Amino acid sequence: MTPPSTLLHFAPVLLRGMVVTLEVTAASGCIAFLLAFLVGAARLSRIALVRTVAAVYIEVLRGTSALIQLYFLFFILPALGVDITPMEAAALGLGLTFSAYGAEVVRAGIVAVGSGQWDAAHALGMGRGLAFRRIILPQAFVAMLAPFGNMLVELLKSTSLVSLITLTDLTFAGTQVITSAGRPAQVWGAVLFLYFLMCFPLSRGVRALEKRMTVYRGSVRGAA
Amino acid sequence: MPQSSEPVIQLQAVSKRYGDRTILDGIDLKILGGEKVAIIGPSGSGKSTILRLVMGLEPYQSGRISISGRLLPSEAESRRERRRKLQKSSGHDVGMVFQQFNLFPHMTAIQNVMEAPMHVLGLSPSDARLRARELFAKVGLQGRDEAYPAQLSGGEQQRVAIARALAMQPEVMLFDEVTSALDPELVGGVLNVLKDLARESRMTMLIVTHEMSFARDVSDRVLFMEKGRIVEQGPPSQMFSSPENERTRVFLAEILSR
Amino acid sequence: MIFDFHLAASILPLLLRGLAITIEATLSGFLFALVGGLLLALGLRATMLPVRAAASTIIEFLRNTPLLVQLYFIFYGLPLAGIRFSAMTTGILGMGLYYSAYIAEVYRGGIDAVHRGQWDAARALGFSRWQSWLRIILPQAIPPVIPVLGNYLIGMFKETPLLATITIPELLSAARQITGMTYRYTEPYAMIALIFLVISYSTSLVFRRLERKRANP
Repeated sequence: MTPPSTLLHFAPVLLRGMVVTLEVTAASGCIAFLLAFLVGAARLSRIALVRTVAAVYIEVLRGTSALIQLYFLFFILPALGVDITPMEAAALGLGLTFSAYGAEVVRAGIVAVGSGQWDAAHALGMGRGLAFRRIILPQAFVAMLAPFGNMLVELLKSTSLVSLITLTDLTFAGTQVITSAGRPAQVWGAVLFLYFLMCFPLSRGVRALEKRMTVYRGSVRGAA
Repeated sequence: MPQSSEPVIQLQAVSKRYGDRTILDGIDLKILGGEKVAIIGPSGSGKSTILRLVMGLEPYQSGRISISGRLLPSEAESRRERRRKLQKSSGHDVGMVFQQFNLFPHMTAIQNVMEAPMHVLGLSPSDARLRARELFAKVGLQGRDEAYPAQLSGGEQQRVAIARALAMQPEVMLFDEVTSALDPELVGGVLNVLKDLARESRMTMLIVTHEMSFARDVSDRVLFMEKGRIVEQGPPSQMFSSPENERTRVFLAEILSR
Repeated sequence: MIFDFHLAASILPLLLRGLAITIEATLSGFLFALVGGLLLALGLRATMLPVRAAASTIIEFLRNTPLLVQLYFIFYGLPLAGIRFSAMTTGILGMGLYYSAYIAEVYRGGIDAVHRGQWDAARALGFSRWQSWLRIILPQAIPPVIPVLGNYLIGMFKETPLLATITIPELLSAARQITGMTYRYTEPYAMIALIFLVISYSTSLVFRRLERKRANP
């Protein structure tokens, strides 16, 4: 058994890794979120070409592995003359991958609102843009919160991949500690625990949100 | 009582198909300003579809529809003019109340009623609120302003829907089986609101309904539809007591015997 | 040059050998996850509280930590406690455990969707708990969720590159081997990306066709 003092000795390294993990999550999360809305709305466009391009985007990014996309950006872009830092590659790579999943969340959320709301808005003289902004999107957004929450947890876990493109995240910090002090079982156990600490509250929050959502939607449908 | 002899709604040889199913088959219909018309018939007869066409919610393939003299383009015509979704039939002349209420669940009752007058007609919030309060009083909903749809009964929600449509001050109001989704004990209240409306206002009203005694009380003319065609039409006194068409008689006998 | 087709053709056999390992790992891992997920799902609905608590704790832990670190723990950490698995076994065990937590939720959804009345009817006819599960509930719970299970199969397939980090010679390893030998990155990575895309897209089409068939028999 490790004397507690040894593990605590390496805590700063691991904590610094945690900070990088959170940074990557935030950066790629923003990119993913923004692109998700763009592509998700494009998926519902009235112009067939826009719809198709969005569909292809989603299929290609969902059909390939996140790690390979990261390697692509990290190794191949420089070969083509584009300079990219590990952090940029990480944010862009994970951002693109998760934007594809996010786009489906956006699309499903909008579609779930139901044609009756479009009908009512039209019957009141509201144009498509006004109806989308004030009636459809607010309702769709509420439906998207829980799935986006889950996506955020997945994104946070996926950031462990950036350790393989030399970013000093929590996983990379783990390998650093083992290189200098050994004890892989304790270190990886600690790293697992730290990831759990970051992800579990988020998961619980999403679960609570989902429960409130079913009550909300149930009462709306019940009253209607 | 009808206002003028100029038709406010006119359908000429209107047909609508969905895939290879014919929903409406050569409908000819003239509705005069101020007329209250009830449409009855079995499900699938196309009654609701006529309302949805007049409202501009769905395209039609052949014939001609005009509202207050303005032409509603057919599907082919809209595509040519590159307008996939039909414009509102004629500004804000036509309003509609739906079977499923379709209230905006993320807004309070009064916000539902204020929304379109503010953002489509450009009313100030205080004017919109005033109008909404008056309409609430009219439909019997005082004191329920700040409730959300989820907190209201079905009958209350439908009254909000009626107030919401009236707030746009349309010339024509369409009612699509507005009591069919209500619990039986709430139906009477909503029908009373409609009866008052029919009696007091000069709007043209098209009412699709299964409530026969209500239809007889409120309407100037009754249309019986079956399988996408208007089988018979006439004043309620004639339609309900001595209909000319065999199929009308069969339908009425069936529905009145329940 | 941007893309050397001649090189691409010559490395294909090497990549395909890696693909075979990938597929072996995916299918074995998925089988493990299917069984493990079912055990966890049944555990969630056990009558004894400790069993339920254990199942839900295991699921929470597996779902809130990264697969990569779980693999590291099993492959590099457990040997110190005397438990040493081969690389392939570790990969199958690691992926199987991780996905069993997700698949348990899928089963749970399917089980919850079975009408309450079915339980009552089963008991009223004298079926024991086990018989009710086996003959009445599960046969109704599982078919509707098969498309969702399909998604996780594809997901697992796409996560196999992680196995390269614990020395399994799958597709990504093959590509890295080639870059090590030829110093060309574009051809190997582009090709494995394409292989992943083709396989996961066609598999998803198969499952989509299955789903449509269920909806319109």
